[in-house]
Amino acid sequence: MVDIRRLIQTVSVFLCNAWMLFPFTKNIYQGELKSVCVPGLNCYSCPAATGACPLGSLQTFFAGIRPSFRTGSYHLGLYVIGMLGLVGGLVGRMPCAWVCPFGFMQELLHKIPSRKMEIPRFLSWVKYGVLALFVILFPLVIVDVFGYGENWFCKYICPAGTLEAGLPLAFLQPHLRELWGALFYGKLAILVLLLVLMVYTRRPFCRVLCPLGAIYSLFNKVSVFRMVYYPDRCVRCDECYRNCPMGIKFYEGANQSDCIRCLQCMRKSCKYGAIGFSINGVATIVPGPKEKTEAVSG
Amino acid sequence: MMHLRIVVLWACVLFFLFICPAAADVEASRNSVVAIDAPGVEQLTREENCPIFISIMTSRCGACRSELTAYQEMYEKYGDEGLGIFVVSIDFGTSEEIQGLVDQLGLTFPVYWGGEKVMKAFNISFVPYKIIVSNGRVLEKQIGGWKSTSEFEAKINELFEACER
Amino acid sequence: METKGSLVSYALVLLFLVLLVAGINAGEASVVWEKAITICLSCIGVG
Repeated sequence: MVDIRRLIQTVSVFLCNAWMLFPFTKNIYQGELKSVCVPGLNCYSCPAATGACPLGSLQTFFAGIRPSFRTGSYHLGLYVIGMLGLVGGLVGRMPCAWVCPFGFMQELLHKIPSRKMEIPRFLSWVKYGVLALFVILFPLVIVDVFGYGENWFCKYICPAGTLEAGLPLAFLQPHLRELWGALFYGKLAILVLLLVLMVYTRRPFCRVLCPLGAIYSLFNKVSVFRMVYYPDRCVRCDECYRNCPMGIKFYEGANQSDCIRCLQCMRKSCKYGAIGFSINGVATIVPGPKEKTEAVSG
Repeated sequence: MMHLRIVVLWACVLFFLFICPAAADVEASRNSVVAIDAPGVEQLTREENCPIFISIMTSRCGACRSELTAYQEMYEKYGDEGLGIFVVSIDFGTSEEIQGLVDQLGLTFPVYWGGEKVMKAFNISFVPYKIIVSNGRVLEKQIGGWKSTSEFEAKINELFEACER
Repeated sequence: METKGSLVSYALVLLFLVLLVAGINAGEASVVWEKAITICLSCIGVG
């Protein structure tokens, strides 16, 4: 039986990366679809990419904000902020679980049999630091003599960029390898470290580093789509935690910031009907052993 | 708690928007950026200068911007001896951003604006994109910035020797 | 409680929808396009 989420994730990977002519053109796709950001983390410099990366675009606006004031165009990045807020306001962190190619890859790598470990919880806060500093603050305030900042997250951290763009482009255009320096090897080290961690722990990049997940997570408690917890049905069997791709315990908070709404706990783990969701404040009917129950959200 | 986080995030964004200097450069520019099309860029390779360095760039690219000072320095040093330097911006939309850089740096060599048409015509995906010409022949088309001014100067001197005068 | 919660959701969705439209009106989509179709070397770790 095909898992609907796996199916959507697979389709999303191919929709976000549908330009299959790159082995012949040796170049990235340059069509107009690229003026639209995809909801997941997918590098726009990937030869196959058909859309723009929301994080890269956001940094570009912040880095160019002073020149845009100077020329009077006043590009504040509202286009990207609006798009992220719209998605977040509707479904919160759901894109991480259903459409993000990098998240999908992490789940697949985690299927490799090995001893599994858990990430210390306080590390979840690191991604907010990465968001505040590398995506917002540094591109805005550290500028050259012309007033331009840099895409700090793309340049110094993003493992998706190294994997999807840095490495494939170096294959397509070999002279790029001559330009590899400390910057590239540093980013490669981050990527390799994360790839190894992905085998041993659940979604390490999403939980610790991803600024996009950090943005969406701010909306988890206020989005139109929300998870609902029925506490008097829960027996604390921890089955939800064992199957959770993000390693959270649902009963500790129905809409906690690391919940990516994959619905795996609701559809597969919980046998007691303690987990449901609501849309527009209207809870879906959850079949369970008890007839009547009080819903607790938030 | 969650509302607080959103408010703080927005406060940060707004704060940095308003401390951004919005002052416009009012000084009249001496070196105006000239619009150019793809055949025009081809024409540049047939200029009399030797060697010729054509750099296709965008204002938003850091590596491209940092090269401009090296170009100016070398142009002042070797321009009289025949070195040709042409910078073509492919900024989308308008030439305002590249004009701002030209004014700010006081560039004296020719700077053009080709926009997305030149980008499409030359099938460019990487910037800076260089075309190096010697004796009317295109020697190299390469991507990436010069590592240093001295690397650039060494290349100029190497090519000067091959120039037929 | 649920009604109040969904009011906040809709206010947020509306706010960001307005921002999105404002951004498109300001011509920001072409900035994204320009960035997305030119590979700036620093972004792929080589310059």
